Amino acid sequence: MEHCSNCGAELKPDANFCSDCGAARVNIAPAAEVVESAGAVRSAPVPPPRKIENHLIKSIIATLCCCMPFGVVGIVYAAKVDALLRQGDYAAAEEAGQKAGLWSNLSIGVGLVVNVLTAVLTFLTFYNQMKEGVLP
Amino acid sequence: MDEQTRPQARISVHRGAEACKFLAVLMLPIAAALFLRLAPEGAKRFYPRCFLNVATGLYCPGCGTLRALTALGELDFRTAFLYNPFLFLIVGPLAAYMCAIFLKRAITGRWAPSILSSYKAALPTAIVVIVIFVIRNLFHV
Repeated sequence: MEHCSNCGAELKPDANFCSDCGAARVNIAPAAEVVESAGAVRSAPVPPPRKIENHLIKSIIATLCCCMPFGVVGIVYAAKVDALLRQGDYAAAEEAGQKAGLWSNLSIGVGLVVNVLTAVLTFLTFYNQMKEGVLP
Repeated sequence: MDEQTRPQARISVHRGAEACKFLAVLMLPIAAALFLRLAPEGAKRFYPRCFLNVATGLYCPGCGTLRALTALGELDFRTAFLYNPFLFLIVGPLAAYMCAIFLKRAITGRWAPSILSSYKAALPTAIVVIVIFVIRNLFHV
Protein backbone atom coordinates (compact mmCIF):
# COMPACT_ATOMS: atom_id res chain seq x y z
CA MET A 1 0.00 0.00 0.00
CA GLU A 2 1.37 3.40 -0.98
CA HIS A 3 1.43 6.38 1.34
CA CYS A 4 1.11 10.09 0.67
CA SER A 5 4.51 11.75 0.41
CA ASN A 6 3.04 14.87 2.05
CA CYS A 7 1.12 13.65 5.11
CA GLY A 8 1.79 9.91 5.26
CA ALA A 9 -1.86 8.88 4.93
CA GLU A 10 -2.71 5.66 3.11
CA LEU A 11 -3.45 6.18 -0.60
CA LYS A 12 -6.20 4.35 -2.43
CA PRO A 13 -4.83 2.34 -5.39
CA ASP A 14 -6.66 4.40 -8.03
CA ALA A 15 -6.35 7.81 -6.34
CA ASN A 16 -4.41 10.59 -8.08
CA PHE A 17 -4.38 12.72 -4.97
CA CYS A 18 -4.35 12.20 -1.21
CA SER A 19 -7.86 12.13 0.22
CA ASP A 20 -6.47 13.46 3.53
CA CYS A 21 -4.39 16.47 2.53
CA GLY A 22 -5.08 16.84 -1.19
CA ALA A 23 -1.45 16.56 -2.30
CA ALA A 24 -0.97 15.11 -5.78
CA ARG A 25 0.36 11.55 -5.95
CA VAL A 26 3.97 11.62 -7.00
CA ASN A 27 4.09 8.25 -8.76
CA ILE A 28 0.72 7.90 -10.39
CA ALA A 29 1.11 4.36 -11.61
CA PRO A 30 3.97 1.87 -11.63
CA ALA A 31 5.70 1.78 -15.01
CA ALA A 32 4.67 -1.85 -15.54
CA GLU A 33 1.01 -0.90 -15.48
CA VAL A 34 1.44 1.95 -17.90
CA VAL A 35 3.18 -0.10 -20.56
CA GLU A 36 0.68 -2.68 -21.69
CA SER A 37 1.31 -5.84 -23.70
CA ALA A 38 2.12 -5.42 -27.40
CA GLY A 39 4.08 -2.31 -26.42
CA ALA A 40 1.07 0.04 -26.49
CA VAL A 41 1.50 2.84 -23.98
CA ARG A 42 -1.66 3.71 -22.06
CA SER A 43 -1.86 7.31 -20.98
CA ALA A 44 -1.63 7.57 -17.21
CA PRO A 45 -4.37 9.55 -15.38
CA VAL A 46 -3.46 13.18 -15.02
CA PRO A 47 -3.08 14.38 -11.43
CA PRO A 48 -4.33 17.83 -10.38
CA PRO A 49 -1.71 20.33 -11.62
CA ARG A 50 -1.22 21.69 -8.11
CA LYS A 51 -2.79 21.46 -4.67
CA ILE A 52 -6.32 22.79 -4.89
CA GLU A 53 -7.13 25.11 -1.99
CA ASN A 54 -10.67 24.84 -0.61
CA HIS A 55 -10.39 27.84 1.79
CA LEU A 56 -12.30 25.92 4.49
CA ILE A 57 -10.64 27.54 7.52
CA LYS A 58 -11.06 31.05 6.08
CA SER A 59 -14.75 30.32 5.39
CA ILE A 60 -15.26 29.10 8.97
CA ILE A 61 -13.62 32.23 10.41
CA ALA A 62 -15.68 34.42 8.05
CA THR A 63 -18.90 32.69 9.14
CA LEU A 64 -18.09 33.11 12.82
CA CYS A 65 -16.70 36.63 12.88
CA CYS A 66 -18.37 38.62 10.13
CA CYS A 67 -22.09 38.18 10.74
CA MET A 68 -22.55 37.55 7.04
CA PRO A 69 -24.28 34.57 5.46
CA PHE A 70 -21.69 34.56 2.64
CA GLY A 71 -19.26 32.54 4.77
CA VAL A 72 -21.75 29.65 4.74
CA VAL A 73 -21.78 29.77 0.92
CA GLY A 74 -17.95 29.54 1.08
CA ILE A 75 -18.16 26.40 3.24
CA VAL A 76 -20.68 24.82 0.84
CA TYR A 77 -18.33 25.49 -2.10
CA ALA A 78 -15.45 24.02 -0.06
CA ALA A 79 -17.55 20.85 0.32
CA LYS A 80 -18.06 20.78 -3.46
CA VAL A 81 -14.26 20.68 -3.96
CA ASP A 82 -14.12 17.26 -2.28
CA ALA A 83 -16.99 15.83 -4.34
CA LEU A 84 -15.54 17.15 -7.62
CA LEU A 85 -12.05 15.81 -6.83
CA ARG A 86 -13.55 12.38 -6.24
CA GLN A 87 -15.11 12.58 -9.70
CA GLY A 88 -11.71 13.57 -11.10
CA ASP A 89 -13.02 16.90 -12.39
CA TYR A 90 -10.03 19.00 -11.36
CA ALA A 91 -10.98 22.11 -13.34
CA ALA A 92 -14.41 22.27 -11.69
CA ALA A 93 -12.84 21.51 -8.28
CA GLU A 94 -10.39 24.39 -8.71
CA GLU A 95 -13.26 26.67 -9.74
CA ALA A 96 -15.29 25.63 -6.67
CA GLY A 97 -12.22 26.29 -4.48
CA GLN A 98 -11.83 29.75 -5.99
CA LYS A 99 -15.53 30.47 -5.40
CA ALA A 100 -15.14 29.34 -1.76
CA GLY A 101 -12.27 31.84 -1.40
CA LEU A 102 -14.25 34.56 -3.15
CA TRP A 103 -17.33 34.16 -0.93
CA SER A 104 -15.28 34.07 2.28
CA ASN A 105 -13.32 37.16 1.14
CA LEU A 106 -16.62 38.87 0.34
CA SER A 107 -17.91 37.93 3.80
CA ILE A 108 -14.78 39.31 5.49
CA GLY A 109 -14.76 42.49 3.38
CA VAL A 110 -18.44 43.33 3.65
CA GLY A 111 -18.47 42.23 7.32
CA LEU A 112 -15.59 44.58 8.17
CA VAL A 113 -17.12 47.58 6.38
CA VAL A 114 -20.64 47.02 7.72
CA ASN A 115 -19.55 46.34 11.31
CA VAL A 116 -17.19 49.33 11.46
CA LEU A 117 -19.87 51.58 9.91
CA THR A 118 -22.47 50.29 12.39
CA ALA A 119 -20.12 50.95 15.32
CA VAL A 120 -19.32 54.48 14.07
CA LEU A 121 -23.01 55.30 13.47
CA THR A 122 -23.97 54.00 16.92
CA PHE A 123 -21.18 56.06 18.47
CA LEU A 124 -22.26 59.21 16.59
CA THR A 125 -25.91 58.72 17.60
CA PHE A 126 -24.97 58.40 21.30
CA TYR A 127 -22.54 61.32 21.02
CA ASN A 128 -25.23 63.59 19.57
CA GLN A 129 -27.76 62.51 22.20
CA MET A 130 -25.21 63.21 24.95
CA LYS A 131 -24.46 66.65 23.48
CA GLU A 132 -28.16 67.48 23.37
CA GLY A 133 -28.53 66.35 26.94
CA VAL A 134 -30.93 63.50 26.14
CA LEU A 135 -28.56 61.03 27.79
CA PRO A 136 -26.84 61.62 31.13
CA MET B 1 -4.01 2.27 10.53
CA ASP B 2 -1.32 0.81 12.72
CA GLU B 3 0.92 3.64 13.89
CA GLN B 4 4.06 1.60 13.28
CA THR B 5 3.31 0.90 9.63
CA ARG B 6 2.34 4.50 8.92
CA PRO B 7 5.36 6.49 7.78
CA GLN B 8 5.93 9.82 9.41
CA ALA B 9 5.14 12.85 7.29
CA ARG B 10 8.32 13.87 5.54
CA ILE B 11 7.49 17.46 4.74
CA SER B 12 9.31 19.80 7.09
CA VAL B 13 7.64 22.98 8.26
CA HIS B 14 8.86 26.34 9.55
CA ARG B 15 8.89 25.86 13.31
CA GLY B 16 8.59 29.57 14.06
CA ALA B 17 5.53 29.95 11.82
CA GLU B 18 3.80 26.99 13.45
CA ALA B 19 4.68 28.33 16.92
CA CYS B 20 3.16 31.70 15.91
CA LYS B 21 -0.05 29.97 14.74
CA PHE B 22 -0.18 28.08 18.05
CA LEU B 23 0.23 31.28 20.06
CA ALA B 24 -2.31 33.13 17.87
CA VAL B 25 -5.06 30.53 18.32
CA LEU B 26 -4.31 30.27 22.05
CA MET B 27 -3.84 33.94 22.87
CA LEU B 28 -6.32 35.77 20.58
CA PRO B 29 -9.49 34.85 22.53
CA ILE B 30 -7.72 35.56 25.85
CA ALA B 31 -6.37 38.90 24.56
CA ALA B 32 -9.80 39.85 23.19
CA ALA B 33 -11.51 38.99 26.50
CA LEU B 34 -8.89 40.99 28.44
CA PHE B 35 -9.19 43.96 26.07
CA LEU B 36 -12.99 43.99 26.45
CA ARG B 37 -12.58 43.69 30.23
CA LEU B 38 -10.29 46.72 30.32
CA ALA B 39 -12.50 48.79 27.98
CA PRO B 40 -14.47 51.54 29.74
CA GLU B 41 -17.91 50.59 31.06
CA GLY B 42 -19.77 52.73 28.51
CA ALA B 43 -18.11 50.94 25.58
CA LYS B 44 -20.82 48.27 25.59
CA ARG B 45 -23.23 50.83 24.16
CA PHE B 46 -21.20 50.95 20.96
CA TYR B 47 -21.02 47.21 20.34
CA PRO B 48 -22.24 46.66 16.79
CA ARG B 49 -25.24 44.41 16.34
CA CYS B 50 -25.06 41.57 13.84
CA PHE B 51 -26.01 43.04 10.48
CA LEU B 52 -27.91 39.90 9.47
CA ASN B 53 -29.85 40.10 12.73
CA VAL B 54 -30.70 43.77 12.20
CA ALA B 55 -31.72 43.19 8.57
CA THR B 56 -33.67 39.94 8.89
CA GLY B 57 -34.13 39.18 12.61
CA LEU B 58 -32.26 35.88 12.09
CA TYR B 59 -29.40 34.73 14.34
CA CYS B 60 -26.25 33.76 12.41
CA PRO B 61 -23.84 31.06 13.74
CA GLY B 62 -21.49 33.80 15.00
CA CYS B 63 -24.13 35.96 16.73
CA GLY B 64 -23.20 36.69 20.34
CA THR B 65 -19.44 36.10 19.98
CA LEU B 66 -18.44 39.64 21.01
CA ARG B 67 -20.76 39.70 24.02
CA ALA B 68 -19.73 36.15 24.98
CA LEU B 69 -16.07 37.26 24.96
CA THR B 70 -17.00 40.29 27.10
CA ALA B 71 -18.73 37.99 29.60
CA LEU B 72 -15.66 35.73 29.57
CA GLY B 73 -13.51 38.76 30.41
CA GLU B 74 -15.76 39.31 33.43
CA LEU B 75 -15.39 35.58 34.25
CA ASP B 76 -19.17 35.20 33.90
CA PHE B 77 -19.07 31.81 32.20
CA ARG B 78 -22.82 31.15 32.39
CA THR B 79 -23.71 34.36 30.53
CA ALA B 80 -20.89 33.73 28.04
CA PHE B 81 -22.25 30.23 27.32
CA LEU B 82 -25.80 31.51 26.88
CA TYR B 83 -24.74 34.18 24.37
CA ASN B 84 -23.42 31.53 21.97
CA PRO B 85 -23.38 27.90 23.22
CA PHE B 86 -21.87 26.61 19.95
CA LEU B 87 -18.76 28.70 20.56
CA PHE B 88 -18.05 26.56 23.64
CA LEU B 89 -19.39 23.23 22.38
CA ILE B 90 -17.75 23.21 18.93
CA VAL B 91 -15.38 26.12 18.21
CA GLY B 92 -13.56 25.96 21.57
CA PRO B 93 -12.69 22.24 21.38
CA LEU B 94 -11.77 22.67 17.68
CA ALA B 95 -9.44 25.57 18.55
CA ALA B 96 -7.85 23.46 21.33
CA TYR B 97 -7.34 20.61 18.83
CA MET B 98 -5.74 22.98 16.28
CA CYS B 99 -3.50 24.35 19.06
CA ALA B 100 -2.30 20.80 19.77
CA ILE B 101 -1.60 20.21 16.04
CA PHE B 102 0.32 23.50 15.66
CA LEU B 103 2.32 22.71 18.82
CA LYS B 104 3.13 19.23 17.50
CA ARG B 105 4.35 20.72 14.18
CA ALA B 106 6.39 23.38 16.02
CA ILE B 107 8.07 20.79 18.27
CA THR B 108 8.77 18.09 15.65
CA GLY B 109 9.46 20.48 12.74
CA ARG B 110 7.38 18.18 10.52
CA TRP B 111 4.01 18.65 8.91
CA ALA B 112 1.21 16.85 10.76
CA PRO B 113 -2.26 16.48 9.23
CA SER B 114 -5.28 17.94 10.99
CA ILE B 115 -8.93 17.11 10.34
CA LEU B 116 -9.37 20.58 8.81
CA SER B 117 -6.56 20.03 6.29
CA SER B 118 -8.55 17.18 4.74
CA TYR B 119 -10.96 17.85 1.89
CA LYS B 120 -13.33 15.42 3.63
CA ALA B 121 -13.83 17.93 6.47
CA ALA B 122 -15.69 20.47 4.33
CA LEU B 123 -19.00 18.61 3.89
CA PRO B 124 -19.47 17.77 7.63
CA THR B 125 -18.52 21.40 8.44
CA ALA B 126 -21.13 22.73 6.00
CA ILE B 127 -23.77 20.43 7.51
CA VAL B 128 -22.85 21.42 11.10
CA VAL B 129 -22.94 25.16 10.28
CA ILE B 130 -26.33 24.91 8.54
CA VAL B 131 -27.76 22.77 11.39
CA ILE B 132 -26.51 25.38 13.92
CA PHE B 133 -28.11 28.12 11.81
CA VAL B 134 -31.46 26.28 11.87
CA ILE B 135 -31.30 25.29 15.59
CA ARG B 136 -30.45 28.85 16.68
CA ASN B 137 -33.45 30.28 14.87
CA LEU B 138 -35.90 27.51 15.74
CA PHE B 139 -35.12 27.35 19.46
CA HIS B 140 -33.67 30.86 19.99
CA VAL B 141 -30.36 29.69 21.49
